[in-house]
Amino acid sequence: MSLWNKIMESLELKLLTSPETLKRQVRGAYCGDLLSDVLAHVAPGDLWVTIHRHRNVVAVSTLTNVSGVVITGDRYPDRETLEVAEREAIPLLVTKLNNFQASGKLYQIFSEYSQEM
Amino acid sequence: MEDLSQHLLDLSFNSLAAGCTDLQICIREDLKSNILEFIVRDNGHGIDQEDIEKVLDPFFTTKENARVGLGISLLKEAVERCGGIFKIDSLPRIGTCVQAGFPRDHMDRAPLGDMTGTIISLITAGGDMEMVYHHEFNRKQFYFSTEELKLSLEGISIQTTAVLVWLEEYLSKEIKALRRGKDEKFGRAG
Repeated sequence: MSLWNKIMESLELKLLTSPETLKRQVRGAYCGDLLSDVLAHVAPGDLWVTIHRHRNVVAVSTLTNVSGVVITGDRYPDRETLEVAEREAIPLLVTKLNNFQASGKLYQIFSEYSQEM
Repeated sequence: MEDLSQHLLDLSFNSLAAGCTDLQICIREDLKSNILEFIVRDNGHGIDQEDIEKVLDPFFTTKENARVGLGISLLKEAVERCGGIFKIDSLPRIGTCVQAGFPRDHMDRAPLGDMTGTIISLITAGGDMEMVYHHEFNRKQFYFSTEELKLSLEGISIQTTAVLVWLEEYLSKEIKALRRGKDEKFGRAG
């Protein structure tokens, strides 16, 4: 099972953008809701876990080259945000889990993943 | 709070709770001078000088059943996180004025959010309160007053569903048109 599939299944993710946006490799993850902090500390290829769902999330994602954004707490971005995400090819995913739960699952996946390698 | 319109709603509900009958919400945005500021001004019963400091303390509230009141301290924190300006002025029996100014392009400035929803909620909850909404974007102006609307409604209540439905559409169209500025590709938006 590919890493993306594993993550999608474990976090019960729903992809809101087109499947073509899922083109980057996931290298790790970062969780944060303060955009300036994320901008400073997220690494390229990270999956970004956040509660935010507005347009600026896409702006930060584009600048930092994250592999995708997980919006937690069963919250959906508005149409405008989705349009920009599609245009900038940033995958937006939603989950019912909260930040803590989603990050915990990701931590587990990456711990196992690095042991396998 | 997710966006600034929620802070504005919170401030306005404070005004309502303070028995205000005239509420003013003014928003000014200017991309050139990189500012987004808003003022909420009411004619409610005001805050005593000695309590002004206390409203900024999250462990202060006038609500009897709540132990903490976070509204204003959350707004102050949101402003200070971006290096903005926060001011609260009040005179007992005259009213209160809360002012918040943000560097518009700061990454941590929350988007303005749904002002239409905020205005509609206030009209629904406000009863007889009169409200003025003034929004300036790059020197273009939008002005809305419940008093003027009520005059043209000729006796029909502003809280009638049909009026609210029309108002919602009108406000969202006008505010959207007002704020339609050219945002830089990856700059702050909203």
